Amino acid sequence: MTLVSEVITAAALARLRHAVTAAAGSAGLTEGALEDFVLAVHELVTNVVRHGGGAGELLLRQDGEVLTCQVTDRGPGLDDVAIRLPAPEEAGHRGLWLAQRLSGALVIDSSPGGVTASVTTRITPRRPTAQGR
Amino acid sequence: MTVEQETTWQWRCDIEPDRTVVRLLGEIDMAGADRLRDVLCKAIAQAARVDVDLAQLTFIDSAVINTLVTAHRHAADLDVRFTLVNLTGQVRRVLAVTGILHTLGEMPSPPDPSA
Repeated sequence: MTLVSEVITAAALARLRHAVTAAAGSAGLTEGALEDFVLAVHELVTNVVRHGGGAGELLLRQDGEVLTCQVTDRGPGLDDVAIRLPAPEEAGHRGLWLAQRLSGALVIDSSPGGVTASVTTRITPRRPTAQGR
Repeated sequence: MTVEQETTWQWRCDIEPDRTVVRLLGEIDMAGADRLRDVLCKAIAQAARVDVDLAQLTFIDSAVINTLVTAHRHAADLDVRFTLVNLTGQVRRVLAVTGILHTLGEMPSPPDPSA
């Protein structure tokens, strides 16, 4: 089931983020898990704006308890995917690391015609009377 | 005191005798990172101690993390104490997971001995 299907542009960053938050929240993702998934998606979207030719498409799908967000661009493709966390005092390049760390899975498929990146998370069913841990 | 509006966020700067407090409100992402850098650099240029109050900040991304790290380094170069305070929710978790909370967070960082 498709939850969100939108065109990515630099001007739409916040709007896309809010659309993904609302849809993933309605699908049952909550609190930290929701925030983490939203940031993972946002990092893929900003990568499109910065490195992927500035425009692309975002597709958020739900298959049962699994949410997948796929982000595609028609940019030059990635030469080298370095998913490494810089030292705390070092500037730059935590985006893909965050996307990978915060989502259950990050898959990147790069070709000369563009990049397709997707992040996946699982919706944990809500416990109606969950108190404490 | 200055108040400025941005699309998804705003900032407020309180200049106190011994420190400047920059309060950030809302959601800041890549689109606001340059503006944030300017706000922080201006505060760093005018005070010996800058506390960045994040109590009402609800979202940051890697571009903002980058800006905070750069501002902290800039402050250290000028012997300005630069500290992030009142982190909550998404902001706290993202800075913790990237290891930055330890360097820039509530415990004021001492001047860099190698500087």
